[in-house]
Amino acid sequence: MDDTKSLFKQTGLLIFGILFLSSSPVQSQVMDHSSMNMEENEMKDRDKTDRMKDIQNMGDMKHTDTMAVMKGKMIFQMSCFLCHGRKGEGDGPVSMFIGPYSHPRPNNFTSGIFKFRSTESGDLPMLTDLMRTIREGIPGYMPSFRNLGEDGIKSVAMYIAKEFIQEELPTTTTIKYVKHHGPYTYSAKSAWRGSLLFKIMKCNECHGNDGKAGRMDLKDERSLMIHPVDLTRQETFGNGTSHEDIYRTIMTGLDGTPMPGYNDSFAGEEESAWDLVHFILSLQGR
Amino acid sequence: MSMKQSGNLFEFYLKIVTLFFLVGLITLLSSFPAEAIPAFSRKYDMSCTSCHTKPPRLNAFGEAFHMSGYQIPQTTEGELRKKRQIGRIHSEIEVLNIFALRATGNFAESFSGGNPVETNLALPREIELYFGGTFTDDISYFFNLAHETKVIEGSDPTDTHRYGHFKEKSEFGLGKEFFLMFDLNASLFGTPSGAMSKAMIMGPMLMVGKVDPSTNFSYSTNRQFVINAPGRLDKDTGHIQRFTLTPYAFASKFFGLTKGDGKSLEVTRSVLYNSAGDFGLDIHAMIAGKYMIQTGIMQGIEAGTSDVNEKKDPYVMARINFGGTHYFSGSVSGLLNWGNDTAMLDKHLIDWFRYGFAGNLKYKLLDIYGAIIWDKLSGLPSNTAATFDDTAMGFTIEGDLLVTDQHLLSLRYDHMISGGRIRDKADGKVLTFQLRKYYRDNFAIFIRDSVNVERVSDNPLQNFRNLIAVGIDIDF
Ligand code: HEC
Ligand code: HEC
Repeated sequence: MDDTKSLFKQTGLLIFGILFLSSSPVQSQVMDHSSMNMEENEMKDRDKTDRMKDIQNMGDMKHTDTMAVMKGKMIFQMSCFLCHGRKGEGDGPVSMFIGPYSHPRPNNFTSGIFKFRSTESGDLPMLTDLMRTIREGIPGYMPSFRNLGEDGIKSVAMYIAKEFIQEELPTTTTIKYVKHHGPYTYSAKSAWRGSLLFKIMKCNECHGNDGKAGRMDLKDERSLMIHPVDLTRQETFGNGTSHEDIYRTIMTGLDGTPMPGYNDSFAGEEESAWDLVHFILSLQGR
Repeated sequence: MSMKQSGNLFEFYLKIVTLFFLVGLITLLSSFPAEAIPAFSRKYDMSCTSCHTKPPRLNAFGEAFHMSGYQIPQTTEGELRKKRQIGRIHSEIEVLNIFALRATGNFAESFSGGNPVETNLALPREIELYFGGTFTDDISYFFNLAHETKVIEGSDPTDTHRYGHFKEKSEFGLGKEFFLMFDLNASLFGTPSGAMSKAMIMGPMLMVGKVDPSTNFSYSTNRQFVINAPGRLDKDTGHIQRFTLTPYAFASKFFGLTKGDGKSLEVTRSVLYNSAGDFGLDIHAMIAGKYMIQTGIMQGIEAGTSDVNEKKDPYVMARINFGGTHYFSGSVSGLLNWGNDTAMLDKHLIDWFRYGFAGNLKYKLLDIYGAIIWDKLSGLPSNTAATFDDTAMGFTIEGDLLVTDQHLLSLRYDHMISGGRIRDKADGKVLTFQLRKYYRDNFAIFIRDSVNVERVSDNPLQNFRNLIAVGIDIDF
């Protein structure tokens, strides 16, 4: 008996050692600053093959769509339903435990209210928006499903659209996504202009002058308590942390929460939204 | 109040100092923002409550995560050294992503009843280090190292005492579980890209090592809010005065038995399928997200790797999950377990048949689970027919309610109709009430009271009226 004990202790130590050796970080955690670069290469390749497939499949498009939705259904009903509910109403068995007494909880897909869009406030998201959320996950609350592969991600997004939203999703957006160029590239000056905008546009009324979450009395559309995100901590951002992500957040707002969309306020001078983005980046020291 | 065990004044002061230290630690820890979270949660960038109602109990997503070999259901993570990307973070394997720590225990407890009131102050009884993760897409691992104090263990009997001979010890070493898990899905069904098989069948997963098969049961032995309360031993004679308080459904239940190696078997020890971890081999698969089938063999009651009893103990378990809308979910499970030559009575190897059911209902923030387990022994020496009861039954039901973000109320009832030597056996009925306060999702203190609602007697199963304890549960 004692022999086996020591044998097991030894094997334990051995495995322990192996684990530690093999776990020495190959490359330390790197935050992704630009979702654009992140996937550019991967996505390009995939896009190419996808397009070729699309052309080949032009004939039986309907058929492949139905197949994709079916596959999406299986993925959803094996995994996503645990949080989102079998009927996509955000009432899965785990839903309440994620947000017992406060925001967020999985949202009700059938209500058509989506936080993470590239479309105007009040509009439905595009399919690519759903796909981005599924691919990236939502820090703290929903795991990334990147490893489903683009095929799987797309099919489950299609299933959500067809089965729960039950409306044609927009394929374009009226929001202008301008590049930050000229005086609107990242600079101390741009960030400083942003700090002024932050007050002029009354972001500080909710987020506090220092961006560290001021108001504590806000409610989401389900009357759950919600705190403005601490803008100095990018790890809590649900809609992405790259320059482009934050730009999108400001323009579209987060439907279902008090965070408004500012597309209209920036109409005609979208470039200056970059000043705000740069201010937020400067709060995070990047 | 008499400080029974610790007569020495110095020791008493030491314990008081320890208590103050703990209170200080609690205050300190609870003032940190809730961002330090255990391994998987760090790895996937998710809060504890994505997988737990509150640690250590799993919610439906946590169960699915565990069943899939510590992977997000429907996905696989790739290899240890492969550059992985989870979420927006390019995450390489980092020690903190595979390592976690749990410390639990009562730091003050008080028993009243058969004996004069007995009060103990102690450090957390159990400190466990966990390592878990994936080696490859299809192979995951888990093991824990544990330091546990006041473990009551059967000892070699020099003479026979009615309730057996035991010793109390501190233990450091490989903990309750230690296994590799293989996902056989790909090798059985192939991996055409976007395989439908993966979307229909989770697994089959093969677990090899020291496993706790009951993690997949509707009531798992090892995930409870009401932690086991240590028993009491007369250290000089090795006579047990009060058994460890555990969920009675899973207990061994028979008075007078010894393990395969001849050492006494505590009546409240969790055994067979419901042990917190034993050597064996387990296969489970989940079909259509609803139906689970599990089978496996175990080495025998704490037989270690040395095969004392030659024969293995096979089991089958079937489970059906239901719900999935309206914040409602649940499951029922049925179990059949054959222990071949797995224990001893008067130095004769005997067979042990165990069967039972478990159920779980979760609605919103309420979680109710229970199990009823019957045990039947056979192959007993013929001369014991009149003096030994070969059947036993145990029943445990627990309800937990998250009354606020931070407060968890638990109520548990344990009932044991024991078997074994008729002159020694007694039945147990215990009602436990507990309040946990979570300063953060991974840090709780609790106060509990277990009340013996049977009569109080000298029998180690009944030798208390009230067990009041204050303790902590930290996961990092
Ligand atoms: C562990 C729980 C969990 C799982 C599993 C999960 N989600 Fe989510 N999901 C959430 C939560 C929580 C939210 C809401 C987060 C928020 O509002 O910040 C959400 C939000 C979403 C959104 C909407 C975001 C928006 O724009 O408002 C989509 C789309 C989504 N999930 C898709 C999926 C899909 C598809 C799967 C399965 C492949 C899945 N989720 C699995 C928890 C989960
Ligand atoms: C009425 C209150 C309110 C105002 C005004 C407001 N916000 Fe917000 N903001 C919120 C809330 C609430 C959240 C958190 C939403 C959530 O948790 O999903 C938020 C979240 C954010 C986020 C993080 C989004 C993410 O990825 O999770 C950013 C960035 C942000 N706000 C920027 C701004 C800027 C810039 C302004 C001014 C132009 C602004 N907010 C004005 C309430 C407000």
